[in-house]
Amino acid sequence: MYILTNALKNLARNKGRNILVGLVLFAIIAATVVGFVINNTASAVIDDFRTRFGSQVSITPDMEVARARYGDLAYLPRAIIPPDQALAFAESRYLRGHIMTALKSVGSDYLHAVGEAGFTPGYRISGLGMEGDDPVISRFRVMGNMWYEFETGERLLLEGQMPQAVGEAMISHELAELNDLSVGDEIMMLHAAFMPEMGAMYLRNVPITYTVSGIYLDMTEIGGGFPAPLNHRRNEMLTAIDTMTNPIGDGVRAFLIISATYYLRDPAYLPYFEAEIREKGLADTFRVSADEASFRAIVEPVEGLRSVFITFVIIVLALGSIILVLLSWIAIRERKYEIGVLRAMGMKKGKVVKGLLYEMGALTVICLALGLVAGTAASQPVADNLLRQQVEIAGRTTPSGPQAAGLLHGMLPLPEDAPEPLSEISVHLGAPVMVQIATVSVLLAFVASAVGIVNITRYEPIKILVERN
Amino acid sequence: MMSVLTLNNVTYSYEGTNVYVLDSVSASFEAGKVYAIIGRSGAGKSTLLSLIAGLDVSTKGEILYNGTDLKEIDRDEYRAKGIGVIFQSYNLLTNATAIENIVLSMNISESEVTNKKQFAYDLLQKIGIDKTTADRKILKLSGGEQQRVGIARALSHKPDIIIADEPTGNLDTDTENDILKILISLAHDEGKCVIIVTHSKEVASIADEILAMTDGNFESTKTMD
Repeated sequence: MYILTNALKNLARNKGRNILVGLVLFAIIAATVVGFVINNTASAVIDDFRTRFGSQVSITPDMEVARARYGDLAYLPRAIIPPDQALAFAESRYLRGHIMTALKSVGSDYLHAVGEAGFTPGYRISGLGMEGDDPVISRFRVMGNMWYEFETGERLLLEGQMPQAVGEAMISHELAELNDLSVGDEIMMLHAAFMPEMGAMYLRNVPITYTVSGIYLDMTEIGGGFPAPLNHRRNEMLTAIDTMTNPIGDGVRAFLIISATYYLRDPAYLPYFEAEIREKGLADTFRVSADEASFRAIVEPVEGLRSVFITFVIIVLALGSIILVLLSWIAIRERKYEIGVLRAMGMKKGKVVKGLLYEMGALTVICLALGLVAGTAASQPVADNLLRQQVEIAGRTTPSGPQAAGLLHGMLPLPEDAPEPLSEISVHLGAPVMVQIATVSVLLAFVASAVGIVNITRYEPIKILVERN
Repeated sequence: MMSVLTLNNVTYSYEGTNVYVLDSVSASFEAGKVYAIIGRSGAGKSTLLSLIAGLDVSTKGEILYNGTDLKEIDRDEYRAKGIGVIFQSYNLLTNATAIENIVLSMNISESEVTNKKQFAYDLLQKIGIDKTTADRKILKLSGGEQQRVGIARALSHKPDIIIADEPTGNLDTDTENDILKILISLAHDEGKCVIIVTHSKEVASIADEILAMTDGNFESTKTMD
């Protein structure tokens, strides 16, 4: 007990050199805290992203392979996942969930489209060499499950309600006015549908009737030019995906493009999921992969930040250790006489060592407490600043814009499909980090003390006293 | 009277040399007596002191403490409990107070005194150091005061033998007399074996026995009346 008491008193007795050693120790601990906190937080963020974003699956067609295999005209239908398959894939037990939207282009024999000029409804294209009906010109789009624009404010419900039942759809305010339509009216649209049982290229214009459940107001600008009717947002009819996947007669579905995003329960399930959907009919002209690009865009700044701090901590620890060992060695050498006196008084070597270690231990505890407080306070601004820089770098080096699958389907990705790169990290100091830092500090202090102590306790007390006297 | 310390053919040479600093020294020291070891510089006095104090080990021969060879006992424990050393240059912990020096010495010797601090104050008071001075750091004390603290430290663990190396070497005459009186009292009144290593004939004159050293051995022994 007296050794500990004496060690604590020695902290004050030798305050000059203890302050010096303490400052170095404090700087090392504070820097280590910053490094550890950011490293551990970044690791947690990366793990979180790996779970959330790394599990997103992309199913993209290899257009070149499809064209080479099926020819210039016939490859296009085969570059799109058939709706039946897209729906069947969604039932996989490896999935945590899915987001599915649909799109099909339709024509009409009697409705005028917004943005058209001098066009006769019902015009058909002839001479394409297809069997059956000549395809009607598509000037409208039916969109399935595209509700997110009502959340972003780009579209507003003006009249009526959102579609509740199969066969209901919403139309734009402009389309309603142009054709004198109102809520509850029925409209008949023509869907071009291939009839495989009649031949590979046998096409029929199948009429489908929709009930107008509501009228929306599109808040977006039309833009500088005048878009073709098919691309005009005011010509979009919004409905539930069930309406679009509903058979349109004799088991035939309309020509439909489905955009599905599947989320695996675990990224490791990807090979199993691929095997399952291949079995369910996915053609070998499609590639199945995890969405690494989005993952990288988000995670790279954090990984960059982590590697910077790991390097930083290694340098601080290496240089700090050298300085600390030297300082400690000098400090103990200065106390050679004191150690000689203690030994001459009969204090055993082990107790002298214990006293010196207690001193260093007490100093370490004080510096650890101060370093943890200072390091934690400094972690957040340092992390924010460095992350900002990393995000800028990542922004210059990673591609942005719609994902490949979305582009192939002619659609913008859903907001969920385009997670924003990380712009801030909330750093925090958990118990494991504190234990890690305390371990590093104690080891550092122990190594620093040990060098001096081993050196000084080699001498017999008489030698020390004679040298001094 | 039984001797507390016996030297039997104690020989000492520096490691790796054939130069003998002490050459077959033999002597016997009893409790209750003051001994003075005198001799010129280089005669071997300080080396002998180191061996008696358990700070070094003889090359040959034996030093018996209460009949047991020092080589067979724990020298740290011997220094802590068996002997009190008063150094010419005091060898105190300079950044600690006088009282802290004494209490620490008692702690090292595992003294069974209940109130060590009060015991230390009383001891210092007896040696001529008041409480205010006792609470000062060693560096703030005069040479005489430091030597008194050194004596108090040597006595704090109640050793059988007190060995003093030029205890008055750095002191003025008045202080020297005070210190010598204390040492005589320790031997004659408290039954300690006091061994003083000195150059000074005046200091040696207070001893019960004087042992003169020349070239690493006792030249003569003189018993004083």
